[in-house]
Amino acid sequence: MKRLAQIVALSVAFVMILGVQAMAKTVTITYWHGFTGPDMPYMQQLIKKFNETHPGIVVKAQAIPWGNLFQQLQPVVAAGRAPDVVAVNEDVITGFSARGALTELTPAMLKSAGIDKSRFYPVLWNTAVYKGKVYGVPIHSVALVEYYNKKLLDAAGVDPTKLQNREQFLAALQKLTIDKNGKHANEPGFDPDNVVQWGTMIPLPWMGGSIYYSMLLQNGGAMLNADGTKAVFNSPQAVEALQFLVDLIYKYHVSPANVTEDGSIAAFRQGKEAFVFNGVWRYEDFKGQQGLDFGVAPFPRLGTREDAAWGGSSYLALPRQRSVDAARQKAALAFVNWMTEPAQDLYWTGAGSLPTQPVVAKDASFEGKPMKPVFAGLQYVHPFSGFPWVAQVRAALDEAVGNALLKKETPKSALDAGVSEANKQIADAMANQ
Amino acid sequence: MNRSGSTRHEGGRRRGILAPFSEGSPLLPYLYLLPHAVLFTVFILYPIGFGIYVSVHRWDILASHQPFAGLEFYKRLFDPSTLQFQFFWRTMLNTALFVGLSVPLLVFGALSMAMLVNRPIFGRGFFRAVFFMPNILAVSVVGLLWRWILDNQAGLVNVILSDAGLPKVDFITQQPWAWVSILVSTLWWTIGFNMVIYLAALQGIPSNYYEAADLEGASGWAKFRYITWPMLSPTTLFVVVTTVLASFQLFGQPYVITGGGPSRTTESVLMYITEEAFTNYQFSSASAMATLFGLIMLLFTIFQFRTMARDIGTGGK
Amino acid sequence: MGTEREGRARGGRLARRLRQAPRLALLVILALIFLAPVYWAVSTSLKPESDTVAMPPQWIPAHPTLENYRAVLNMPDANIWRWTFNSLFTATAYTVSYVGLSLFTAYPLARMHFKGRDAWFWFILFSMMIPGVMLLVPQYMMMIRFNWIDTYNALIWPGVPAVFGIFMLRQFFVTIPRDLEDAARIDGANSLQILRHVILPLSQPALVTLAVFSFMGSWNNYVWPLFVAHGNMLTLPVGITMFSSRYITAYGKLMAGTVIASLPVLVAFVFAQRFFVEGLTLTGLKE
Repeated sequence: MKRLAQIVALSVAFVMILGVQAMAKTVTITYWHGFTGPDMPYMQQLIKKFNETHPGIVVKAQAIPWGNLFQQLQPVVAAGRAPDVVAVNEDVITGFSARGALTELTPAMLKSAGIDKSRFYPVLWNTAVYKGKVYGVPIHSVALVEYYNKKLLDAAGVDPTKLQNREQFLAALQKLTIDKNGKHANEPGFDPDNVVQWGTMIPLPWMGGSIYYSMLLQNGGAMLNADGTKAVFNSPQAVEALQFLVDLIYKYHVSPANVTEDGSIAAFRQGKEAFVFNGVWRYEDFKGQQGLDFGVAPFPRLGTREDAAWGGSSYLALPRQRSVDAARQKAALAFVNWMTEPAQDLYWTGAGSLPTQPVVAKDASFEGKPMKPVFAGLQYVHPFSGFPWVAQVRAALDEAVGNALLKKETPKSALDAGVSEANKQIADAMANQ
Repeated sequence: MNRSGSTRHEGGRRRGILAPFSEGSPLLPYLYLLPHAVLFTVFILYPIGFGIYVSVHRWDILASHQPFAGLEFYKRLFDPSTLQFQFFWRTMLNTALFVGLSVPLLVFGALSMAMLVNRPIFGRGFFRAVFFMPNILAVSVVGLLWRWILDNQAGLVNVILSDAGLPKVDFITQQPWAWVSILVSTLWWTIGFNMVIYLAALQGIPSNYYEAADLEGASGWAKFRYITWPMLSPTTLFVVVTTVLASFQLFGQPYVITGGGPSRTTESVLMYITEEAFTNYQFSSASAMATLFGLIMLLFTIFQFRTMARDIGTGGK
Repeated sequence: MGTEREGRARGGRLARRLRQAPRLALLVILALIFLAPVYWAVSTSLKPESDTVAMPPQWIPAHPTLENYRAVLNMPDANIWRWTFNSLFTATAYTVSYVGLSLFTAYPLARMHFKGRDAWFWFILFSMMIPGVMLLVPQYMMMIRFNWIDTYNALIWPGVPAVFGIFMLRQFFVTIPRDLEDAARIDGANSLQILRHVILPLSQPALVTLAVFSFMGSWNNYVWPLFVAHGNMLTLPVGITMFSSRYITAYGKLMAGTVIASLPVLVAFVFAQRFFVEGLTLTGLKE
C-alpha cells in the first residue's frame, strides 16, 4: 500500500511538472557550434545569458570540433535529426547551402526576427548569400593581420605607420634583417646563411597561402572568374604577387626558406623576427609572452594596387528540417538575432573575434586598445568563399604556393598547375550538383 | 590450411546445458562462430555493403534520388586524365614506399627488442613499459609532439644541431627528411605494440625445448634459428600482416607533421580518400577508392599468406 | 632463460650482471631515446606558456607551475571526472566483450575442422582491409537510426566484431602443441573444457596482450566518439582536444591534458605486463 501511494504521488507530481511546462510553452532548441578552446567559455556565457533573459526558450548547446561538426551535419539532416541552429564557417557554408543542408533565411523570416543586414560588414554578410538567398548570419570574424616587434623596429628607426607601399615595406624588412656581423640584408657582404634577426618569415601554406591570397587580391587578381566556374589564379597579377613573395626569400633575403608556421610564430615570440603575418587569434599568444613588446596593424600593402586581407568568419544557420516546427524555428531565429546583436558581438570580441559590424568597431571601449588599429582595415577583409568548391580550389592554391616557396617550380608553372587542378576539381564538383 | 588444428569429432560426454557443445555435433563450430557473425553482419558487413552500393551510384546523402552510376567511379581510377587517377595512384605509391620502409623496421626491430627484454635483466619491467608507453598516446598528440620537436626553425633537434655547430635540417619541408620524420615518429609510436605481441609469443614457447637444445650444446644463434624463429612463425605472419595493413592505413602522422608535403610527397592514400569524401564531398568516388584499396590489400595479404603458408601450416608441431 | 640458468650455475650474481652489461647498456640507450620526447612533453606541461618557446630550450622548467593542469581540470562545463568515468566504463566493457567474443570465434577457426572454415576466415579478414573512413558515414547513420547517439551502446558495440583480435588469437592458438589437447580428450574433455583447461591457460599472455590492446584502442579511440558522443558523454582523450580551437593549439595545456588522459592506461599496462610473465608460470611448462 505504501508503495502504491508513493507511485501515485510521484505520478501526480510528474504530471504537474509536465503541465506547468506545457503552460509556460517552453521551447527547447539545440545548437551545435565548433567554438572550442579559448572561445568556449565566452560562448557558454552567452548561451547562459540568453537562457536567463528568454524565459520561453531553452537553448541546449553542444561544442563539437569544427571538422567533425561538418562531417556530422549532412547525415543528421538526412536522418531528420538536425540541430535547430548550427554554426558554420565561411569555407563550407556555400557548399552546405548548395547541397540543401541549410534552410534559406527568407526576407520575411529575417524581418520577423529583427535581423537587419545593414548592421553587418557587407563582405561578411554576402559570404552567406548563395544565388541571391541568405543562409546564415555572421557571428564571428577573424583576419590576417601584421604583428610587429616594437623593440626591433625602434632600434632600426622604422615607424610601422609610415609603410605605405611595397617599396617602403621592403626597405624596412631589409633594414630589419641582420646577419651575425651586424650587416643588413641590403648591404654588400651580407651573409644570408648566418642571420640572427629576420625581417619576416614567409611560412609555407596553409598560412603562406592566406598571405599569398591577400597579395593576389591586392594586385587586383582573383581566385575564380565572376561566376566561379573557372580558376584564374595564374593571371599576370597572380604570378607577380607570388614572384614577389618568392623574391622576399631568395632574392632580398629578408625571410628564410623552408619556414613552418610554428617556426615563424616561435621566432616572433623569441624576439628574432620583426614582422609576422598571422591571424588575429595569435594576439593572446603574443600577449602572454614575457618580454615581448608588440603592436598590431592591418595586413600591409605588399601588392601593387589596393588594400586587401584574407579573412575567416563563422555564421549561425538553420539546418534543413524534415518537418518544420514553427515554434522552434521562431525560437531559433530569436536566438540567432540575439546572438548577433551589437551587445553580444561586443562581448564576443573578448574571445578574439573581430567585430562583425561597424557600430561595434566604433565602441568606445576599444579606444587605445592594441586591436583598434586593425579595425580600420576591416572593410578590406575578404574571405575566400561564395562557391561550393572553395575548399578544393584553396587546396590547389596552397599546393602551388608551397611549390613556389620551396623553389620546386617557378611561380608561373606552379600556378598553372594549380589552376589546372582546381578546374578539374570544379568540374567534378559541378557534376555532383 | 592448418591440419594440426583439426579435431576429430569423437563422441564426448553429453552433459546438461553443454549438450550442444558436445563433441560430434557437426553444428558445434558454427555455434562458436554465431555470436560474432551476427555482430559482424550488423556493424561491419552492412556498412561495407552500403559503401559498395554508394560507389556504384552517384550518391548524395541529401538527395532523394541516387542515380545508378555503374562503374563510372572505378573507371576514373584507371583514366590518366582524371584527378582521381593522378592522386589515387600517386598517394598509393607514397603509401607503398612508407610500407616498404616501415614494415621491416617495425617487425625485426620489435622482435629484437622483445628478445632484449624477454630474458631476465635488471629493470626488465621498466624497459618494457618504456618501449610500450608511446602507444598509449593518441596519434594527434604524437604528431604534434614530433612536429614540434622536429620543426625546421624552433624544433628541439635543430636547436641541438645548431648548438653543436651542425647545419640545420629541414625535417618538415624537404625530402627525404619529411619521410624520416614520419618514420621516426611511427617507429617511436608503434614499435612497442609489435614488441609486446612478440613478447607474449616468446613466453608461450615451452622452455623444455630450450632445455633439450642446451643438453645438445646448441649455440644461441642455433636456438634462435631452429626453435625461436619457427615457433614464432604464426606470430610473425600475424605481425607482418597487421603491420602491413596498419602501415597502408597511414594517416595521422603525415596529416599532422607534414600536412602531406612537401609537394604532396608524403600524402597517404587514406589522406586522399578522406579528403575526397569529406572535403570534396565526393562520397561515391571515395567509396570506389576505398573498395579498390581494400581489394589491393586483400591481394597483398593473400600473397603474404601464400609465401608464408609453409610456416602456419606447421604452427603446431 | 638458458642464460639465466648458466649464470647461476657459475654461481656469480656479479658474473651474471657482467654478462648482461652490454645488453643493459643497449637497453638504457634505447630507453633514453624513447623517453626523451615523453620527458619533453611532461616538462612542457609544467611550464608557463611563455617558456614553451624559450631559447635556449629549458630542459628543466625554469618557472615550474601546475597552471596548465589547473586550467585543464577547471575548464568550464568540461566534466573531466565524468569523461574519465565514460572512458573507463567504455574501455572496460569493450575489452570484456571484445576479448570474449574473439576468444570464442578464434577457437574453432584455429583448432576445429569444418566446412567453410578457411572461407569464413578470409571473408572476415577482408574487413580489416577496408579503410574505416568508408564505414564512418553508414555506421553513423545506423547509430542515429538505432537512437544510440550519446549512449554507451554506440561507444562500445560497433567495434566489438573487429577482426584483429580473432586473427591474433587464431595465430596464437595454432601454436599450442596438439599433444596437450589430445591428452585432455583422452580424459574425456569436451571442446568447452579443452578451451577452458588447455587453450585458455596456455594463451594467457596472448589474452592479456589482446586485453591491453583493446583497452588502449578503446581508450584512445578518437574519430568515432566524436561522431556519437557529445558533452557529458565524451570520452577523456576526446574531451581534452576541446582545448584546441580552429587555428590554435596551446601546447602546454595539450600536454597537460595528454598526461592526465594517459596515466590510467599507463597504470593499466604496468599492472597487466606482470601477467605476460606470470601467465607462463601458471601453465606448468616452466621449470
